[in-house]
Amino acid sequence: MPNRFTIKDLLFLLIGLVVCLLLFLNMVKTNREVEALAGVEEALQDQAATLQELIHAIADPTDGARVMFRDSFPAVPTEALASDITFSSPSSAVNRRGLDQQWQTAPDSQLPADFAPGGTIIHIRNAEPATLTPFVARDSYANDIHADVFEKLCWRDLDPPFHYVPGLARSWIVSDDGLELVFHLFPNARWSDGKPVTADDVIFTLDLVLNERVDAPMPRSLLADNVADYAALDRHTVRFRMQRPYFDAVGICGNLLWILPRHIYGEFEAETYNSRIGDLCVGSGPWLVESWDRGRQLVLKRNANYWGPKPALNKQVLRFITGELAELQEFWAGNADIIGPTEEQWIVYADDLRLKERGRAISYYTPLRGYYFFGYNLRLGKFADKRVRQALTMLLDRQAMIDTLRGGLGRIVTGPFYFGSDQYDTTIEPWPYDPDRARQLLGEAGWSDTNGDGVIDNDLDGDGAREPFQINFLAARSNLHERYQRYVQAQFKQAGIKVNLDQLEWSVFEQRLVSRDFEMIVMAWTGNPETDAFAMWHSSQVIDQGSNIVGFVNDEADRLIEQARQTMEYEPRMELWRQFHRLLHVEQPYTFLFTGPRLTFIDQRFKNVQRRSLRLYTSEWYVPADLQRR
Amino acid sequence: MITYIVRRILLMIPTLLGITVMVFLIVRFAPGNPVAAPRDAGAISSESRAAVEAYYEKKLGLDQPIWRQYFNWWRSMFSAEIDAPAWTDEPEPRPIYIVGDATGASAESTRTLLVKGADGQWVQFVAINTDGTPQARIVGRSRRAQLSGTFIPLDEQINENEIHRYRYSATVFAVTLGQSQTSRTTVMHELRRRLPITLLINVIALALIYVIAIPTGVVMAVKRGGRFDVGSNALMLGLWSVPIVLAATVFVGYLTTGGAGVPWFPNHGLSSIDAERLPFFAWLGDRAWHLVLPVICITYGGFAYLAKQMRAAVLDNLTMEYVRTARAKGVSSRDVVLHHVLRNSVLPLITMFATLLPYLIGGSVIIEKIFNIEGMGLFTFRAVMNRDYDVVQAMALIAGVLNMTGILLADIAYAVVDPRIAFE
Repeated sequence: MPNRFTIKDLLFLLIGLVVCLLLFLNMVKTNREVEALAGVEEALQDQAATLQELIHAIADPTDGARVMFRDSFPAVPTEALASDITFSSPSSAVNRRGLDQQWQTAPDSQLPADFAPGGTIIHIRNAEPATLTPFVARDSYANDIHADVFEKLCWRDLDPPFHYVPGLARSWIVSDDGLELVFHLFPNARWSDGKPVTADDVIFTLDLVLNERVDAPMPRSLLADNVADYAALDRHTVRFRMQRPYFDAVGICGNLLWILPRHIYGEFEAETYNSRIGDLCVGSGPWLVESWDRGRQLVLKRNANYWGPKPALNKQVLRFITGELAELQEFWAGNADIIGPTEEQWIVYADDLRLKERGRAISYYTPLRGYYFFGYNLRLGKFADKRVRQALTMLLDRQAMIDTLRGGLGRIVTGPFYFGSDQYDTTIEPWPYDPDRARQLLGEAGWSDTNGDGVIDNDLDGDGAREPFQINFLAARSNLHERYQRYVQAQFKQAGIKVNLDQLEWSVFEQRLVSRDFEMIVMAWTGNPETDAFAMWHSSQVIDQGSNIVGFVNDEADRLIEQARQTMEYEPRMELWRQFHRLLHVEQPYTFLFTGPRLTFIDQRFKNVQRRSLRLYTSEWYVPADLQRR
Repeated sequence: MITYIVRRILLMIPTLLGITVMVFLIVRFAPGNPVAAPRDAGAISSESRAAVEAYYEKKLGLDQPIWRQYFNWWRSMFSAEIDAPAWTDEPEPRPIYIVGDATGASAESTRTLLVKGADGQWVQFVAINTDGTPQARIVGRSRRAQLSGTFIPLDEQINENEIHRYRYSATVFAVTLGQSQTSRTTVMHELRRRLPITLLINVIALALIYVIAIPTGVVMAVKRGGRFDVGSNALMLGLWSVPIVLAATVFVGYLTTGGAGVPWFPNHGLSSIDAERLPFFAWLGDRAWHLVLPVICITYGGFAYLAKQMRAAVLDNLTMEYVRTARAKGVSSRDVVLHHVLRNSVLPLITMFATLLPYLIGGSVIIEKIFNIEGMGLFTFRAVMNRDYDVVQAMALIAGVLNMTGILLADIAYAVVDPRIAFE
């Protein structure tokens, strides 16, 4: 019988057992080793933290000295060019740098009692950047990191009216005709390796972006469309010539590009530059990329050699976690210091006691957020009459939409500009929710229900046959869009307008926009501190896939846009934009809906968290010493 | 048998070609295009838009005729440009170091120097031209290589032991399966990172399904009509009719930390934030804790189908003549079921396994999306949304290959299990 238990079987069994035992013992051993290592690591971290504190203590006096130097701006060379329109005063520079500058220059007595340098902040990001190479990276995740690691010639002020303030350039001069700009760099600006930032680096950066082989078509097309030439006048002076006067010339020349060090980036071929992922992120900013553990986290550490006033925090950790629920959970668990909750989460938790214990909720309206709108294809006869468009707007109770569909998070806007800017005419009253007047306007435009089928009709093409008012309403797929669509369907039905709903995924939706194959859409534009209306509203942008999607053509609007774009002086330009805003309000090519706030939950350890209009500025925050994370 | 297998494998080649053509055409003719994804969403003037679109079309090769694009796809699946260390596993690729006096080499010098590149390939410097441009070739699999970087002139004093950095570029043969435009790496690179994750979940889930469903099916068949049979039948059908989306969402909503119910399980990922610093057993526990919900979601629906299949097969066999014969000759009921019936009843399960193979590797999009597990499913899903052509095509191709392999394996397994089947 083969089933007898033999010596051989016994041997096999024994060997098997021994192997299992060995395996188990090995696991136990590894376990002990890792435990021991963790202990060592902890001890090391403690030591490192102590060392860091020592370094801070030693380094701080020099910080102060450096900041004092920055405070006293050298005189602007007056002989160079005639007028000095956009030169920012030193005081606004102090504003941008915020309180950290005041603290570091101020005597100790003026600092808050609990002020201490050091500490870590942990952010959550929903995805990691595809690459960290500047200009090649296009996602906002990389952009946020670049804003810490690199510097531009000038920045936007964080609060309205968002004037440009010095970055790497301490001052700039724009000629009267707006065609020539001269930027003067801070002579003491340094790369993170201590080498000076010079005009040569600026020229190098421009050359790099304009190189056809570099994967940066967006900034390249902006530069190529506007800048005629550029040159270094001396070691710290760069001159740009524009092809034509443009109101945001300073922005194009100074606020478009991160300035890169030639001595590092110059070593690379364009192809290599394009394809490197993690290691080409070295600049002059206050932060350095310390490590990038792909798929897990990226760590920024304070640039100890930063030439300007340094942030109080010592480390920023960006953890990559997908999922809004996960994000909130990590915040509750103390594994994240700052998160952007969803609107639903905000509504539930903003006043929650649990949050009050843990931190605070800050919401703010930034121009970057843009606005929602319903767009009508003006090429179609039914939308050609502005009375119809006004009527459609008045059929919608935008405040009710905010309150019921968005949980009260939002503000009605009446035009394409940021409501806190000078571009926006605050005297304009939004079109009221007035279905009666809307019906009256539709009647004036010739729409009425002649055949009694509940849908109003009109003879648009004059052939005697009346067409019913039917709208195909197209949206990119999302829950929010669907809620808007259903609301519109119900509201328009009351006035006898039939709405058919359609949802497409974004890339298909986008193609329909480009081919102008739509009747009504819901969409949102992102915004800017000062929005250039040209791409969205000028008649030249109707064709060739420009962003004038709805096909808005208006001579007066064209004139205002063209004139505003050439006006270099601030106040007259703002007046032109406001005129344009009033014109759009009457024309209603869109139903302008609302803008939403940016929402943030922040751990309570952080002090001096200011509500800024552009974005929250972590560099001005600090953590009292006893609350700092190890 | 061997000839049969060889014939089958040979037949797979034309099938595979057909699959590539189909996949390619379907992806190209789907609405939407990959140029929309990289372009920024903000307002843009028509001139800029035209310039940017033209750039991307050229870069992605979309301006070329369609047959050309098809061959380009083949080429990109099997070649890599290695001046870009994008396909090393390290976040920071090692530079190539030239140690010693290589920079001092003159035009006449033909000394050979081997340098190891970031991708682990050896570069051989054979000569350096007088104008300073070096000639180099890569030893091994590469076809052409160029060295870039500035060489220090001969008269400059350099430290002999100083290390200088150089880079080279080359096109080499490598199975990359194409370039992902959104993640900026090769599909192969992403596979290496994500496949273990998906495999881990699905292998555990599959094993669980089989381990639970087979005995249940057998017991159900043996005690046909009994309380266990009816009860488990009802329970399994009930489970089977709950959609995975619903179950997963309810789990995340009510059983996880941060949810509305009890915080028993984590709600995302496969490990806690600092898991890799945990001791081994704590790490294992953490991993298991994270796996519970996703694995439950994948398994519960599978029981019903598999157990019912098993039950039917066992019932079928129980009525066979050979069972009666075995009983008649006095074999115990237990032995009849375990030795005779079971072996004959696993045939349908083998068929099922063949269809499960692509699913094993393809991953479950729904589960990975809801639990935020960075596996193959989520990767494919994003690629489809972004119209990342190379990735979508590669994943469809892989699914096709796996399907064919699965069917082949099933056929072979039939022959092994059932002596009546012979492929001659």
